Amino acid sequence: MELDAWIILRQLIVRCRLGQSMKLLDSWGYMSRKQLQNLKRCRSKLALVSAVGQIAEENDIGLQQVMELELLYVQLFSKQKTWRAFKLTGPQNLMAEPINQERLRADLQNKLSLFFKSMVVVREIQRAFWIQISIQEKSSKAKLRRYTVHAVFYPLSAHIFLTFAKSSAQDHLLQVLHLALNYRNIEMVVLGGHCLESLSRIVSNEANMCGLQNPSLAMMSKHNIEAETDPRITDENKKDKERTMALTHQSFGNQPQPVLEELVFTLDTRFHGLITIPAMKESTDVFSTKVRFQSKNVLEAVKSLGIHGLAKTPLPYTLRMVPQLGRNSFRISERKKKLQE
Amino acid sequence: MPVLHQRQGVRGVSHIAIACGLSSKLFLNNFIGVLKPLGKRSASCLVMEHTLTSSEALDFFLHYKIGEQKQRTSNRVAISRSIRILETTSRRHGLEPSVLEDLLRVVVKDTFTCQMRHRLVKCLIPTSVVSRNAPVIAVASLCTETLPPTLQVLLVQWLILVFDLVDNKSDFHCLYEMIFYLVQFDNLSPYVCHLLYLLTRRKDVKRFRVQKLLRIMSAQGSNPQLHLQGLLSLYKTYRPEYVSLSVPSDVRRYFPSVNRAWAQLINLIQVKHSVKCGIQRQVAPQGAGVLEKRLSRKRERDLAPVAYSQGLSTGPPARESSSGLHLDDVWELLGSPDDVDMTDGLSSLFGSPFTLCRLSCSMDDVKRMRIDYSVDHVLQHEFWNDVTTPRTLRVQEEFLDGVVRAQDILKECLPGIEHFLSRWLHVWDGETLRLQTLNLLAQVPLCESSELKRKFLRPLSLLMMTSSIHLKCAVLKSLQQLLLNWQTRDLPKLQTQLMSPDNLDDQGGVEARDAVVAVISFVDEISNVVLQQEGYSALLIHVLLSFYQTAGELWPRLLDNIMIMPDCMIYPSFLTYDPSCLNRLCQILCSYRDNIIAAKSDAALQSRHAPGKLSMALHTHNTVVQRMMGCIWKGLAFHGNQGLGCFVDSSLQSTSSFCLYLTCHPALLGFAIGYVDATFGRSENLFKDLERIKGPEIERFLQYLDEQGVASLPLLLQKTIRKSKSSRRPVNPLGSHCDSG
Amino acid sequence: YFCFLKAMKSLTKKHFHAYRVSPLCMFSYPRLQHYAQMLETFLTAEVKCAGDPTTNSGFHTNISVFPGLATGQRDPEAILIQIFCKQEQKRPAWEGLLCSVEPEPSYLTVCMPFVLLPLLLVHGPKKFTTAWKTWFERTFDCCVSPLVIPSYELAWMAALWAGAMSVPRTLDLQWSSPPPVSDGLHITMSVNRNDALRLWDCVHTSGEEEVGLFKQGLEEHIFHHFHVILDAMILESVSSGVASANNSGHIKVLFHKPLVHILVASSYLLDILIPTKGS
Repeated sequence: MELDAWIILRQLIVRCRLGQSMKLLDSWGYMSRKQLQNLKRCRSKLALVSAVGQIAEENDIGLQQVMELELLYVQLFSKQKTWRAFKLTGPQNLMAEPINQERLRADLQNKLSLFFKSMVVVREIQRAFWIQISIQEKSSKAKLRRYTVHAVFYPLSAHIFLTFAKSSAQDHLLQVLHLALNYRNIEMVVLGGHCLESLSRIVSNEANMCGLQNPSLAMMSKHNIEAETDPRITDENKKDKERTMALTHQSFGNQPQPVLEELVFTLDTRFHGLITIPAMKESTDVFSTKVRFQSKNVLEAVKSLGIHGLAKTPLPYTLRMVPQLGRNSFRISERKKKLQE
Repeated sequence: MPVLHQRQGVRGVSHIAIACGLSSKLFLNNFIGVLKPLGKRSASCLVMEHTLTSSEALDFFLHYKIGEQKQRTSNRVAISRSIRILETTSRRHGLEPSVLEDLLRVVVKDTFTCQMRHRLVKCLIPTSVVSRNAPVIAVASLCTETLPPTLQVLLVQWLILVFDLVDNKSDFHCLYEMIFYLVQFDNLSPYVCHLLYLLTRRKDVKRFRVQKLLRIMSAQGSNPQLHLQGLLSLYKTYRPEYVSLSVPSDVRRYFPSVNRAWAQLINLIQVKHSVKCGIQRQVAPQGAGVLEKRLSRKRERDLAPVAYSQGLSTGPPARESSSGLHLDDVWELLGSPDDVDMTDGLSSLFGSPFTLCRLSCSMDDVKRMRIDYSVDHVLQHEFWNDVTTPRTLRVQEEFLDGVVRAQDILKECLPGIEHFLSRWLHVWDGETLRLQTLNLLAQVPLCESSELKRKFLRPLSLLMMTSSIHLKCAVLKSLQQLLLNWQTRDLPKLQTQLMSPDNLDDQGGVEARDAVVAVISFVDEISNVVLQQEGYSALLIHVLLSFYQTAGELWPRLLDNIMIMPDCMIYPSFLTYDPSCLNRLCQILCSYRDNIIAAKSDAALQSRHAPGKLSMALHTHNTVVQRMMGCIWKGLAFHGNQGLGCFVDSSLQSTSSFCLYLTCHPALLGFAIGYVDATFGRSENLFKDLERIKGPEIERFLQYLDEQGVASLPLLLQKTIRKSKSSRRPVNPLGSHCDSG
Repeated sequence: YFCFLKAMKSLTKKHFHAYRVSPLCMFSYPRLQHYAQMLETFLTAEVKCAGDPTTNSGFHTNISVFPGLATGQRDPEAILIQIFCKQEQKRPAWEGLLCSVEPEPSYLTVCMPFVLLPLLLVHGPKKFTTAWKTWFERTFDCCVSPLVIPSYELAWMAALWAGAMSVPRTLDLQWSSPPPVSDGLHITMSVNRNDALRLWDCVHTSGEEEVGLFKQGLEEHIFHHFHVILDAMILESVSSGVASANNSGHIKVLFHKPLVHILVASSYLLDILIPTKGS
């Protein structure tokens, strides 16, 4: 087995926990059942690594297969990477054959070889195509360095998610991708984050409007206000609280919100703190600020702001409609207070 | 019997022996005959090896006696097989502490050859710990010079390796001097220095020892003795003033390296044992690791020896004060030096009441400020900064408990605490840290009354209005405790400062009086409100009565107005359903009476009190008693303009004037019925029975009350009512003295 | 003047942790060298305990007076403590600055033999800080605890720095949500430098309490756009071209050119950090 392949294999096994590595190797499909059984007996990671190495030698596993394992690893731990969304537009060539894993791989490999020395691995997992493109480039020390770009393509929603790629390579990559996937054009969507499922949910929901929710569920959740079990406390503003809950549920729905880590707003409006500082009324210049909301799950946090009284409901359009708008970076400017893309 | 090939060799024989599983003795006899050509010795010991247990081997060594010359061969055989068994056992499991001790004793005796003893020492691998006697035995033998030199070295090496595993090192430390004696011997010196390096604590570093080391070093000449330097460097760390020699800094190792294999073996056994016992322990890497781990553990408790006494004293201390004053029991307290050097700071101070006791004897301003600043700092940090979680709440509770205890022992209140408490009371919710807050409240020092009101009483009044009855009672109790504390703690201090202790008309005295008056008037005001709020609950009345009782008993000479309880307190107590309240009320009234009489008779006191105050007190007392007697004795409740009227609903007032009579009083009705049951027996008409209690029956009824525990009421009646033969009218004996004073 | 300037410059561009110190008992200025020696011996002993007892990694310490920070009348001079590792003699591995700059007058009245240097700024790795702290607390019987800069003080600083900035950098304020909000939300607001300056000028002219107005103005602006009540959230950190500070006591002063500004900034910085004792 090549040294590179061995190094990559070893790194992968070491990085994940024992139980997870078994799962990974199982889905890889290049080891027989008996070999996997043997592996289960390994107690420590080092033993596992050496056992896997041995089996790989026996099965004569090459770099391509190891890359597939890497792809599976990324699929398992997709939260570790930052994904950015891209929209594929343009009329599809309806006469073309449906996309197939092998063909896609060969296609991409051919096209990419025009630009850089690369290796492509494609796997179809749960109705999405997971692509790993590993690009070799010369770094300054005349050493060959390799970096990988991962892409996930959801055929049903015509969106593709990419991890970070160097800008020089990115253009070529995007071109190759939209050609290979039979689309006319590819555009960047201002949407990024760690949680791939949430991102895919957002892009697929873009067409739907909000408000489609189960009304009975809405009623039930209204009564699920954190039960104040202390009988000594009387809620003076019970009506207000109920109203807030209703509005929040109306805006956000009952389902758990998709996970986004950041919302960035660039505000280019006039200064609006005029009640406090009336002297700013005269200056008509733009008061530019940038506001960033950060959290492990920003949408849930924003939703609970209203519930806990830290924000006035109904929340504005920009905060409510994030999943529907399908982006996480916004620019708000003064003229007619219209949202600009 | 199976035929054995000679070539199979010795091993084959032993295997067969096990395979056959025959008993040892039988086999021996049979086989020795057969295997004679192989060599009797090897055969027998091989066969016997696997069937002898380790305890038997041990016993063999312990009970072996020289003198059995006859079977020398078999002796040697027995010895060698036993030692082998011991070695394997100790390498596999280690030896128990008692076994170790016994074996050590065997080693130091002259029973076996030197080589054998070497091997025995190498076997001394402890399973878990080494008993405290073992080092004693070892060191004792070292000093007798009966051991061969190589064995001595080995013993010291063994001591170094198991140093950490000795469970109680107090004996070991006592032997310091003896071990130190061994430094002068060349062959032992490096190892002994190493052992001393491990053993030394700060107090072992003495000038004479340093000098001895230096002498030895100079006697060595130019040959640098690294181990001596190593020990000196340690001494220098502990006591730089004793050692002026500079220790070379580029030395990597001072002491000869330990036998790594041995050390590793010990370590492995320890790990095995601890794994078996379920204790988690990391495996120290290699033999040297044992050493380092041990050293770091040793140092933990004896840290930072340098800056101690030098930080705070201006020069070298005249006498070595106890390092880090921390006294653990009474004996240490009695034995500790007079010169207290408070080096350890707050935590040790609050931990030990004995330390505080010692400190309180030698308190001065600087020490007080130090404690105060530390406490203030901690309070700032803990209370005004963080969000309270259950953990911080516990920390705060413990700290405040410590402060309360400390203030109790030191008999003073730190200014930082006072400040904190006043801030705290302003934001207190009545529930958080309730116990601690109330304890601190009771320890507030005597200060100016306006400050007292502003800082403590005002926030308390707001709190009292809006809290549960339990908090109200708790606060009143702590105010009562406050008065007590002032009496015991602050007033004596004040009196020593004033010119004439009895005369409290000086500035300090006036302040003290004002403060007390402020507290009492606060309780007066608040009692009115809280009693109404709580519906004159008996619990509250009791607590209030206790307060007034304390106040009345403690300060009769200080206060102008002896009659302390307000009307709003007296009459509700009189009208209560609870006999014990009534009892207490009568008790208090009796004590007032006694005070007034005493005041009248004491000319000095009379002159001090403002002229009219005494007579006013008299008048108030008389009025109250008259009214009470009117109700209880005369049976004329609500007759005329009596203060009672405002406490009882007017519709009830007109019912019967007998309603508060002795036998009909709500509190005493139960006793009356009991009395009737006891004496006459009950008839159908209860009231008729009750009416029978008159005349001479009343005396007996009062006696009955006395027996039942309501003792003060008869006493009051006795004191205030003069019975004349002619009429039953109560005559107030004090009435005639209205105009005196 | 110039060495004073140099000394001041040495304070800038370093990330400090701020601590509060209670009054020191029996600290005398003439004995600084002696204290340095004691500290050295202590650190050496500590290292010996922790590692191999026979190897020797030396430390060299230096305790000196740091001029120019004692601006108040009764302020004692500031003390600079430096620990150098034997290997590198030029740059100190750890630095601590004990100072007192015009603390509130109602603070503890401290008399001999106590010295009040309530503010400690530390730059360096944590292990040195703990070692030094043990020695210091034991020698002078004081307490050293981290300084928590409350939100209103941070707002104050933000306002001040907005007015003082001339470096083109945004004024960043970060709020964090209180515990009930799920998953912890952080809201960062970055205001352009010119706009912040403009706002500050407007606030100045209105004549009322300036700092409060500045903060409220920004909060209202955000409220208008997002309906989020920032007042209810905790202001965690403030950073600008002049300096940056946050809730847990980290301070960094960047601005070094105009001396007046830095004096103003630093003395305000140090001044308001002193906890007030008067109630």
